[in-house]
Amino acid sequence: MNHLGLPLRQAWRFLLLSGIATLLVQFLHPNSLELSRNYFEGSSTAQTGDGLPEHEFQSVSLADAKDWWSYREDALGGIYIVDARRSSTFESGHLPGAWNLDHYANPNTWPEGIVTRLREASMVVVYCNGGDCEDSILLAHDLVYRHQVPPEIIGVFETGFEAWRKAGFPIEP
Amino acid sequence: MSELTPATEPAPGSRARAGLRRLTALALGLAMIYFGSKKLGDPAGFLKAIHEYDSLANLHFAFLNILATWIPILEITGGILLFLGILRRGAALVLLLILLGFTTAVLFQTLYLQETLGKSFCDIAFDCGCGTGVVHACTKLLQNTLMILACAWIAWTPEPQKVR
Repeated sequence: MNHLGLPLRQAWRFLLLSGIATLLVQFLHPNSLELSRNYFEGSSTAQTGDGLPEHEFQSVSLADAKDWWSYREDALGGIYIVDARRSSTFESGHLPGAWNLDHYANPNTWPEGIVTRLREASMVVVYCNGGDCEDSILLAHDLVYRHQVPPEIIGVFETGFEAWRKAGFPIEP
Repeated sequence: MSELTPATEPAPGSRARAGLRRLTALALGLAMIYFGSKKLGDPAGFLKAIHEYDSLANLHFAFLNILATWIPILEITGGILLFLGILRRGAALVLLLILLGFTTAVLFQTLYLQETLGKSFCDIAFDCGCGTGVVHACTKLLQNTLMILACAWIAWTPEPQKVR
């Protein structure tokens, strides 16, 4: 153990140093995590028969998503298509006219006034990549429980972007 | 607590070993700075990746948030210290423990995916949250094993005596 005396003392000093650096970075980093926020609230390990994650919201099939998409944006009192993926993924291709609300980003970085508009919408269709991607469910949960969007207007397009792309539907950009 | 002692001229073998140890520390330091920077650039991406580990998913959310915030800084500061030769053995010891933890998690996740997907062990590829995107498990485990050995060597062996 004597052999480890010096590295152990150095390790404590290193941990202290990195702790101070972490506090500084946490304070200065524009995308730092909120330490007290549960980013995975609403996450479930249970799966449906199709292998998709279970959730409490209405399910939107590919055909329904196509219909809602056709009527999006203020037609019929406000239908919104919301992309829950990371902004870098969104930029590489998304449903035309979709709003990108990155679940992991600080909501202050979301487009101004979007939450108010969603609260007054008639339908909000949320999607992510599909498959075992949970971001759409996590965002739907956020919208309902943190931003008071009525749960009955939220639909999760579970098979998501991949099913949309494979079906040959329009993609932006 | 200096390790410096009055020294005689070191043997050629020990000088070569000291040089190799220093070179290993430099390479390991650079690798750690690189991996840490990639994680620090996207803390949410790193958080998401570690949450996807079956063995870590049930940990308390605050603990996961702290891990995702602290580990990139530990890697970067540890890498800088290894590179500069300051607190080198202590930094190597801490990085060794982190690597052991993550390598175990990668191993368990690979076994879990192998069972779920029914693929052979080395065909499993996933985003391990290591800062390199999707990687093959075998490659990652081999890479981590080499880094663990390097950390252990640096942490366990005393700094070479300096000739005055």
